[in-house]
Amino acid sequence: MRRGVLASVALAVAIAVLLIAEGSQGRQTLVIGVVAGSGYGLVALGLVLVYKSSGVFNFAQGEFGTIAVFALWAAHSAGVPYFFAMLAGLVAALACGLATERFVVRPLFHAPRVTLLVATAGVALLAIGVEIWLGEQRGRYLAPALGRLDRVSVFGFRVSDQRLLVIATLAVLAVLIALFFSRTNLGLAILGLSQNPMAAELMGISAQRLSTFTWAAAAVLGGLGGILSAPLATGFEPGFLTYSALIPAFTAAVLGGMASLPGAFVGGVVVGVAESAAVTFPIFADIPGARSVMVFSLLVVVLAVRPQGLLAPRSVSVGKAL
Amino acid sequence: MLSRQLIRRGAVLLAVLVSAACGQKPSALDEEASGARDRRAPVERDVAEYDSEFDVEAGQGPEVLLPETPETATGAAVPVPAVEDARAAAPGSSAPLAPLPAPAPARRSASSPRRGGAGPAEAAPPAPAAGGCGNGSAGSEVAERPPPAAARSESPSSQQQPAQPAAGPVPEEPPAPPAPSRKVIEGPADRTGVTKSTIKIGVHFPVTGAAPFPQSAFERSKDLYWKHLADEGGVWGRNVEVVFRDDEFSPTRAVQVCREMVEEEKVFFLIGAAGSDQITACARYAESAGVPYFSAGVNEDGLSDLNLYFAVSQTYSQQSDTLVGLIKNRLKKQRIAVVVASNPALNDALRNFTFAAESAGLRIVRSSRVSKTASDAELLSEANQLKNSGADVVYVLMAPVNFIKLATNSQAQAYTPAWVGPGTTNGLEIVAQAGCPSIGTARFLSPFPQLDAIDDLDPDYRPAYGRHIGGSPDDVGILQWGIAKTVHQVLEATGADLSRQSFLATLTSGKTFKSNVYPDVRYDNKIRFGASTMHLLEADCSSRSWKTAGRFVARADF
Repeated sequence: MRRGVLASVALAVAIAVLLIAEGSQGRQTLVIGVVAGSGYGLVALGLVLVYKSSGVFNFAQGEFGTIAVFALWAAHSAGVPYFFAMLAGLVAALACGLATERFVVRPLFHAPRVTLLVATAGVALLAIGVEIWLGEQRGRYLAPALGRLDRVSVFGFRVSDQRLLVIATLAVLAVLIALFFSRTNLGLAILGLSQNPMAAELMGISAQRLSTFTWAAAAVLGGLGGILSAPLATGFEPGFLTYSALIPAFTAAVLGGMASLPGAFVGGVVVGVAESAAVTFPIFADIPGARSVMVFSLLVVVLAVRPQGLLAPRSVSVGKAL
Repeated sequence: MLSRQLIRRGAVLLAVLVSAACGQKPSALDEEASGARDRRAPVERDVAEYDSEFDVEAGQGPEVLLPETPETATGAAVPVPAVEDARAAAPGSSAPLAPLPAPAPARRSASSPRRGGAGPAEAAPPAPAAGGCGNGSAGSEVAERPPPAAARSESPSSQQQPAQPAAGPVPEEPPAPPAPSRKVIEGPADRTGVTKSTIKIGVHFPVTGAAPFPQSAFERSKDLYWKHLADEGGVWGRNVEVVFRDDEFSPTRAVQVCREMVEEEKVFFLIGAAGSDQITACARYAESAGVPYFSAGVNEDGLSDLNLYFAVSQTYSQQSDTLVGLIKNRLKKQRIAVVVASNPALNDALRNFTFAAESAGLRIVRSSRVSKTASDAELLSEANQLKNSGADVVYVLMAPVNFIKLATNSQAQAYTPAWVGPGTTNGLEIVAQAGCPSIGTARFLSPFPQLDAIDDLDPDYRPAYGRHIGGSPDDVGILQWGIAKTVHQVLEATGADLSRQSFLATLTSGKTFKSNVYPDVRYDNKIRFGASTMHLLEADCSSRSWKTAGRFVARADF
């Protein structure tokens, strides 16, 4: 594992050096990739958390975020200060996560993982329907938590405070959650439950309680992703995070390794840089949909060469989920 | 074991390379900007592509054509009241309508025979351009433009060539409707959707999807004009009943809802309020079903060969010359960047704006296509590239949500160019509300005026809104009011004996129909893009709204 991680890091550093050496355009591509990819990474973090603990691709992860954004918008529109409105958003996401766990995940706890996967897709579609029903299908616009645009400039590219907030939040959360899973009893219990539920339960670990905790944490992460990235997207509408970020986030999670939380961060950045390069460099100008071609080519290559992802141990592969 | 692994990896890499190599060129613009492209080729390719995709039959020339329908009635000749002189100038415009293009022997054409006025993509014969929409089409310019349909039709073998890739990416192609079956107008009268007391019509609009407009605003005002008309006694004693459907910003869905409105609701004609791909898809379906179709002007590719499609304002291509005049003479800028959504239907607009700009001596410093569903990274990079290009003006033709994101990202990079573009939806109030201050003093052409001018142009709108809807009037209402009012002029001119035949005969009679909200339009047996002016809107970020900076403007006004 260590050799693979070192190779991945070396590859990432080499790409970064190449982009920096390419000139100002390359440097700016790198910065844009990191900035934009952080948003994907934030959503990917929640996906990895659920996968790591239960082996399920959670298609409802985007909707936890969208619901949080709607709650934030509603509270802020009603005159609640932005910070408290953000808290309201996180509470709404938490409630949604708990409800999903109680009414969807728990009844299907012993069902095949693919059944649970389909159930999460159903939750996402239901959530979008409810958002349309309650909130009308139209665009809404959300001001950023931090409005300053020109505090930091990297290689000539200005990074707004809101984007810095996303990057910092993602980096801190990735490290904290990685530490949680490696250094705390609760984290180890969740991992144990994921790897062998029967053995874990025989050791006195409550599967249901841990499941509740995991889904609640994933919902809060999704909510955080939503309320931080919605202002960057200028506007939002029902299903916005599912439509705009779920596929890139899945790609990021798979690239990073579905069981690696730092990998979600790295995967998000890789996806962002790939998209940015596809838009920026003239070599891609003749390829329609170069952005998608670039990202999915990268995904195919990584799956062919290193199916467990860039930062995950070889024993964990995405095929486990199915 | 090792060799199998190597083969497997090699196969994957090969597949990736093949998929990349098989891609189509996203835009003709890069090459056109460097002057290295033959301008004729893309048009013919596009025509072949559309003909191939939709399997449209070659028509028979200038007759108004209709499908044979089982619903028959007496097909009596309909007296057509005189409306206006066909050559009457648009109100407020100094540019009279252009001379008509020469008749074309075949209908399989991309533009010219269907064009109204003399838009920038005019593939018309090199007729004098005197005042034609004020587009200043000089003879030398015409010579470089796509050849006239008549010329193309002289070499049918070229039309028979297999469809070639379009000059642009193809994210979502409109689905192919069945081939149309047409008869000339002398057939039995088709009165589908018409009773003694009502006329049922269908309207579709992208309420959901990538164009987040307020659903309630569209639903509220979908039949506002017709309710107002009912107060006035209706049209020849009939009231108009509106069936409304959301096309979800998807061409596939648009065809579904249009089919539903035609086959289940039995509407008399259809109106597409916005969304170029959806309008194109639905109009082609309507053509196959023999149903007249109206929309504000959008693209020309895919619509120019239709008999039953009518644009009630200038197409994007027709607006190019006016925009070039605005940039050159009013804004006095030279360096232009062009950003167009990657919808293949917008290729003609891209080509024609590029041509008009270069012909006017403007310099295009960057041209690019962005995805219909562009990601954050894509729009961030695009904003950065625009900044690096040093363009003073950016011509944008894309969905409002992407325009707002692009402008916001540009402003975050301290890049605030003058945004300009053709209209319809970027001139809606919601764009100013969400896009300010990033959009600065953006200027868009629009088929309808904004709220600051509507009282002068149509004093009935505001009272009607208050009477039938209540609250403050909005511009979504004006958008729908204007189209409906234009169509009402045609219904009025058709008379009491209303059938699709009599309606189309009136529509294509060469009369000018004036709504004083949308531009004047005039159609005949060849012209389907019948407007020659537009309104000019300018963003006023102090009030987060649009101001009507010019009414019924054309190229000559700059």
